[in-house]
Amino acid sequence: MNNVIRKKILVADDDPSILEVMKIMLEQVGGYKVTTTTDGESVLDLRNELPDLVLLDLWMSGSDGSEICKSLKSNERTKNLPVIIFSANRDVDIISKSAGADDYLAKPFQMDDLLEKVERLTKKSIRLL
Amino acid sequence: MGKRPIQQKINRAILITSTAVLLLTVLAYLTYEYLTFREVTLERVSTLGEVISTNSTAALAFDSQKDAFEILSALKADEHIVAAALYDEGGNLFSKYPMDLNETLLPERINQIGYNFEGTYLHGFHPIILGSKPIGTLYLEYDLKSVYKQLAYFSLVAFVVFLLSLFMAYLLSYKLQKRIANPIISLANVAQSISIPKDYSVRAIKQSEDEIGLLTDAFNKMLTQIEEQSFALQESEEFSRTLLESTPDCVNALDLQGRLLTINPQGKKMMEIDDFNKVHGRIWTDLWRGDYHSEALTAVERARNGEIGHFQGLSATMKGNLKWWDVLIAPVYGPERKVERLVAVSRDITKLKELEQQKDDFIGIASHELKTPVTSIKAYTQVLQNRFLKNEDFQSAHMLTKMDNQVNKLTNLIGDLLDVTKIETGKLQFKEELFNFNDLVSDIVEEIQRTTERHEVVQKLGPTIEILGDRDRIGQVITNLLTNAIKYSPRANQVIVKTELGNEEICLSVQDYGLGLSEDDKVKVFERFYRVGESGQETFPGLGLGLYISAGIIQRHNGKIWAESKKGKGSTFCFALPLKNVNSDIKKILT
Repeated sequence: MNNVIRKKILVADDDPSILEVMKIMLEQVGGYKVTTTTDGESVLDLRNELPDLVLLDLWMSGSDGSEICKSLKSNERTKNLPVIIFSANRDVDIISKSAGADDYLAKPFQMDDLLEKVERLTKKSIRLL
Repeated sequence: MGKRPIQQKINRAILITSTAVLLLTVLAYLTYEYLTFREVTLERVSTLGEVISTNSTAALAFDSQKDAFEILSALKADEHIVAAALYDEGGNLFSKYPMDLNETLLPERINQIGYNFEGTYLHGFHPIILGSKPIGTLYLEYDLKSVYKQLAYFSLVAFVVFLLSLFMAYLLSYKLQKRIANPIISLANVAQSISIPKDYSVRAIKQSEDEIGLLTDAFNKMLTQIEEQSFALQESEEFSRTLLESTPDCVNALDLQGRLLTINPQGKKMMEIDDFNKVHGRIWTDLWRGDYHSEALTAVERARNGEIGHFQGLSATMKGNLKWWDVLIAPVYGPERKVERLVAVSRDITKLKELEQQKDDFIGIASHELKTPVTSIKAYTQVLQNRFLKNEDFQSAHMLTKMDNQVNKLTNLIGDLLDVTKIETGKLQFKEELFNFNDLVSDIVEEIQRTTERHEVVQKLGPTIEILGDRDRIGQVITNLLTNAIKYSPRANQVIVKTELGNEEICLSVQDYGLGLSEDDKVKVFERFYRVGESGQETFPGLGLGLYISAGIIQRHNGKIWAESKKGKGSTFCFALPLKNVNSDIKKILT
């Protein structure tokens, strides 16, 4: 795994402790390279390198995860970037579908579910590239 | 003087009776007089005839006209004899009276023997007999004019007496009728004096002990009853009016076509109506829009059929302010037990709805906020567990499994809080999908089995089928039934799950060998916040929401849920989901 280029994942959530533990999970257990942000809008500011996958919280202070997802999906450069929406909202599946997300995760989540979904979608992104 | 009629009637009756009686009396008297006069006159004339005839015998026998005339001249004594004649045996005129009498006035020949009334005269022939041989005939003519004059005089007297009697009768009746009429008139006066100012405290004075006295008593008794009733009516009207005016609700009266007839003052205020004439007669149901319009129509229809209609809806006031209303529509019956009108009572529940919304929002935010730290805890637990497993510290890893189970329980409790509000507001959303029923049961049993060491969850599954529904929600129900079965049978070591496929439904039952339920509890367990608890006995943790939510979920799937149990013998909780819509949906997918 060390020889392979590590996939880059961007996680956006307004709760720092969740960001911290997700970073641990994805880096230490999953082996990904993780960037985190508490500012939802900054996800759209992708001037440089694109990540391989975005994990978006639905309900962040100051921004709406589903709107960010829609912007990403409507932008030519980012429309193939896999997005997973995760939220404590029980209707996260419906919301994520209508926002055009590739998958969803209900909080609180099982680590195995997170890793499985991320792995499936990052593999897909290789095929797309 | 509107009291005349009864007096007039009595007067008239007395006068008519008196007139008839007097008239009959006078007529009888006059008839009697007339007949008597005639008879007496006839007798006098015939006696006179007899005397003259006898006296004339010699004159005729000796053919002495001088004698005959003298005899006839004696008739002077009676001024009423206006003509007389003697005829001989051959019927020739022998002598006449008075002397200068024109012969033409006498009968031409002798008619039948006997007397006849003719006009104002009585005349006739009398035979003159000598021995037994008729030798001539006497003719007499009697003038009745004076007799009739006397009769006329009698009639006049009788008529005067008649008039006097009638006048007397009138005077007497005028005096006497008052004794009958006065009590009736005074009763009528009392009745009239009551009917206009409606003062039922007035009483008629009893003036006699006869039928009118009875009538007065009955009238007074009736007045007492009316007074009592009108007092009661007034009281009840006052009560209704106070009720209508003091109620915080908007009370509308509608006709059977749903047109607005009246509205109470409070209602006008609530509906912001300045001028009632502008809304009077408007179709009340038109105040409601969209879904609420059809609900209003249904409620009105129910009320028209004698039931009570109820709905909640959003409607604008006359000034366009939107308000939430809780509306009851009831029928108002007429005297023939037919629905004649409708009453719609609308309560302003805008505040309540706002509070409800606030509560829902709060619970939504609260559950979200509660889930955030739980998410962190769960994530750290899993990271740690992963580490211990890597380091082969299985004991610590196992402890973290238990910790993770507890975190799951906490998550479920938070979820339950949110679900309750959703069930109550009808906002429980379903994600319908086709899924294999038994597979879901097995998945959940496997999951539950991991959380208990004491209990073995035994599966007795029948034939399976793909059903249409919210897999997660139905899974939530099965989980709830299983965790309850385990929780409430702490000393048993088995829980049995059965599925049964019928023609129209699929059933699931969870049987435990625990405490069981009383008859009362069997129904109440599905109520919100209800917890089977006995003072002094073992208590069990929980919010008392699980079965309430389960029932809500099953009902939304058009299924049914129930409990079978005997106190101390364990319980069996069952639910059945209909296959009907499932099959048709599968067909839809296939075609």
